[in-house]
Amino acid sequence: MSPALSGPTFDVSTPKGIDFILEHSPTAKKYLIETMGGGVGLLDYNNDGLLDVFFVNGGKITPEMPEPLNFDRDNPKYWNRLYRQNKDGSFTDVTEAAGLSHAGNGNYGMGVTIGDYDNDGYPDIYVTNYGKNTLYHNNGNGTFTDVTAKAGVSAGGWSESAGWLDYDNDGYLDLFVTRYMEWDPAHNKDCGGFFHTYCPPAEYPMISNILYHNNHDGTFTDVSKAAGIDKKARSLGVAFEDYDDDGYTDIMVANDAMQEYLFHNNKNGTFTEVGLDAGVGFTDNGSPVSGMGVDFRDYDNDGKPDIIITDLARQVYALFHNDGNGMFSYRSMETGLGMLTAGSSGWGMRLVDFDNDGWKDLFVVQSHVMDNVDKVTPTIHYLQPPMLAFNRHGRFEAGDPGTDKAVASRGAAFGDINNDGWEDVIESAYDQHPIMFLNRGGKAHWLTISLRGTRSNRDGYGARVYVNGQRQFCEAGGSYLSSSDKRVHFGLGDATTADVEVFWPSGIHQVIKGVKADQFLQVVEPEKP
Amino acid sequence: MIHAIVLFLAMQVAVQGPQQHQEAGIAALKAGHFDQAILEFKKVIELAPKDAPGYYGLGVAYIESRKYGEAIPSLRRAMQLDPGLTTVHDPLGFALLQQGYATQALAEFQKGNDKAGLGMAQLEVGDLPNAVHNLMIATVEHPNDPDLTYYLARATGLLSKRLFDKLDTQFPNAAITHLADAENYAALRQEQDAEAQYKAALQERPDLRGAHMALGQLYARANKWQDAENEFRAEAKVEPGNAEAAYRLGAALLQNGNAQEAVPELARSLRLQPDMPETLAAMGKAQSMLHDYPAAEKAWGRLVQIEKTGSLAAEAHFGLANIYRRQGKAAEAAREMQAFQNAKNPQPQQ
Repeated sequence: MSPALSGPTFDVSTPKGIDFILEHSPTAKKYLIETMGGGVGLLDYNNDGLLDVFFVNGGKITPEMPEPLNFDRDNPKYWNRLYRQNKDGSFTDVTEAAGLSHAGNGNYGMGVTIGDYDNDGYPDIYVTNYGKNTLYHNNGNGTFTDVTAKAGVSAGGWSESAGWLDYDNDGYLDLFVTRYMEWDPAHNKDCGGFFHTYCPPAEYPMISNILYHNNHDGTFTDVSKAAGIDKKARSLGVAFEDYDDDGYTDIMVANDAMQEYLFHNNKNGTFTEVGLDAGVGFTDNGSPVSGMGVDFRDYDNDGKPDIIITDLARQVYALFHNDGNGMFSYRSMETGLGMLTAGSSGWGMRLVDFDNDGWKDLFVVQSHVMDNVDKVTPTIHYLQPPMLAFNRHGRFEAGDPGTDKAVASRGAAFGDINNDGWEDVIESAYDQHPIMFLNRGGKAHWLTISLRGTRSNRDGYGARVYVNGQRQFCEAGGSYLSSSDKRVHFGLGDATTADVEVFWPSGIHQVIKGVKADQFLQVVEPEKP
Repeated sequence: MIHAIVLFLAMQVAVQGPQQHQEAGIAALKAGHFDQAILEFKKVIELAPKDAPGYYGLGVAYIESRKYGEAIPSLRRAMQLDPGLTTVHDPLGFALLQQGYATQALAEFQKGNDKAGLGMAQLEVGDLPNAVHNLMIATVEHPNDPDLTYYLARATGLLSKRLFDKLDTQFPNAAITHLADAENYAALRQEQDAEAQYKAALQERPDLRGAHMALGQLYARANKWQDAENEFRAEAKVEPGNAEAAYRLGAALLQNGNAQEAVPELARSLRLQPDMPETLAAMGKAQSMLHDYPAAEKAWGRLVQIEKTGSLAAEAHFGLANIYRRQGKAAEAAREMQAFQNAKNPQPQQ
């Protein structure tokens, strides 16, 4: 079934009660961090069944940046913000009451990832920064505590996207943190001639990403080197899936203007980077893309997860189809992305079934990285509207997202914000309030599943879920700097029932047949196989 | 020029003037001691004020010293004293041109043999067709002269502009005028104006050769690939014998994900112009998208025979590596990846 929705898919608005403005403080000095931040996270921090929103803010940057760096994060203008969703769909700022107003003056905010690392049933928040990252433990009473020092996950340098995963299937979430480059304001470069521009990434040295192993006691150990993920790069995005169905989570890292990395999980606590051999390192002509956002999801319902990477205009978003046997093929052109995205620059994104027809559509928030690119190259634009592309049996066609307003977007999180069974989007954009895309819905059926791990990690991250021939992987990451609704959503089209199959990270295989459509289903992992 | 002049002066020495100074002046000119040459020729004039060679030698010595203003009266005096002294025209024209007297220079060059000087003088006075003609002759004789190359480029550019201006003023509504204006806007990156002019040209003359292709390229640069495909298709219809039109249509079809339709267009392009590297690269990609790996291997294989380095060669080697990897041929894949790296980053030649 292809529910031919008439008109726009979303009602687009600034969410009521959200007055956050993403402050990035652009300067004539063109400090690179100015144009890279802006994560957003969806979480139900108080377990009231309503998704709340966390926004990461930038900070104050001045043309001169004396040491020690001070981004004025104590100033409320530059706080990160947590908004609790009320029953009427409005939001209330609870940042201060939740204990989240202290981001650290030395930290310029980037992204966020949400996960219950201590399996206490309450989602915790990890914020990435230029500076030191912060782990906020959810106390279960509406407040959070900064436990970074105890946990040992501050990273340092310039962190970008991060994500929670259980790479060793020990029932506790580990943490993967991408880092962009070795950079500091004193060594910032100004490129361009007549027009000052941000420099391309190759102007700065690469740096390694970080994998933190969860020690089960509230502390983590940096295992990057031992695990084999310390290959240097300029990384911006990360997504997880088990692309070879061996029961262990693999890691896809979007790198900027260099080979993309695919870390295959060796099932012994180590990884092997196989991007080139697997065919996801470069496009089909051997060119790198400026990888920014990434998603690892099965777009063509063949049961194997594919990869999409957003990048800069003139590159087209890179789609790598999982051909099986550990091989991928570049299919941007065949899927219509060549036509749809050659002029676009994309950041936050996800494959989500917005029209519930059983095929995952593509939503990308867009903007070029250079705020003066229009002057340098008139056919490319800094401000861009979002892109919605409907998936018609594996080929993408342009949809109407409900707005053509061009903005400078960065982060995007996806989920069913108003719990109506139709997936929504919230995006963060520079110098303005966030934009919420509330799905107008339709007649097709759906099923949204909450996983609760018992032997596996409580969030069920890493579980493979199959419903009526579709596949989803339970995780909150992907996109760019952002964290999405951890619930697993399926569009069912005409089907009024569904057969649900879950492969838990613990190895337990669970089957539930004849589930009624149009419901939020909680699936609890059996204690025994 | 100096060698011919020295030879001429040497011939004069045997029959005229105070021989010693004349010979010394010539020797100094040959040795590049121009100040000394000036002194010697001045002595010749002092001793034989009614003889032309002394003035001629002095004029040439001034030119070599870049004292063009002083060269002109000496050369004119030489010509006055010996109206049959035809070799004076070229240096005199040169000195006049250097001083900005283009019309007078032209008159001298027209009596001499220096095509380069003649062309440059014609360029200065605005006789562009003849300037282009003579500068092209001179460039054939002196292919590595940067000055000549510059003046020829300038003359052709100005002539081109003049012709385009003529189109605008005399034939403002002609299809070809719209096409010319469109190309001008496109070069200036004024895409909207360029698009409007291309469309005006095609409205006037739908079969105007090259217009659809240029408009298609404009759309391609703006990433409007469906529009680009439509224009290239129209061009291929207007010019079924044009290999580039077929290639561009095939490449646009590929960009739009239609490898099935791209293959026959690319094949047609290769029939019209075999071994065009861009077409072979696109053909390899199209066949690979259709999973016809032997055909892809054939196209890319031919390409890397033709091109050893550069982006197209790198693309072909990368594609071949992917094919071999899929076929489980690890050694071949590794070899192609190495070739890919070499093609991307060629070693400088020793």
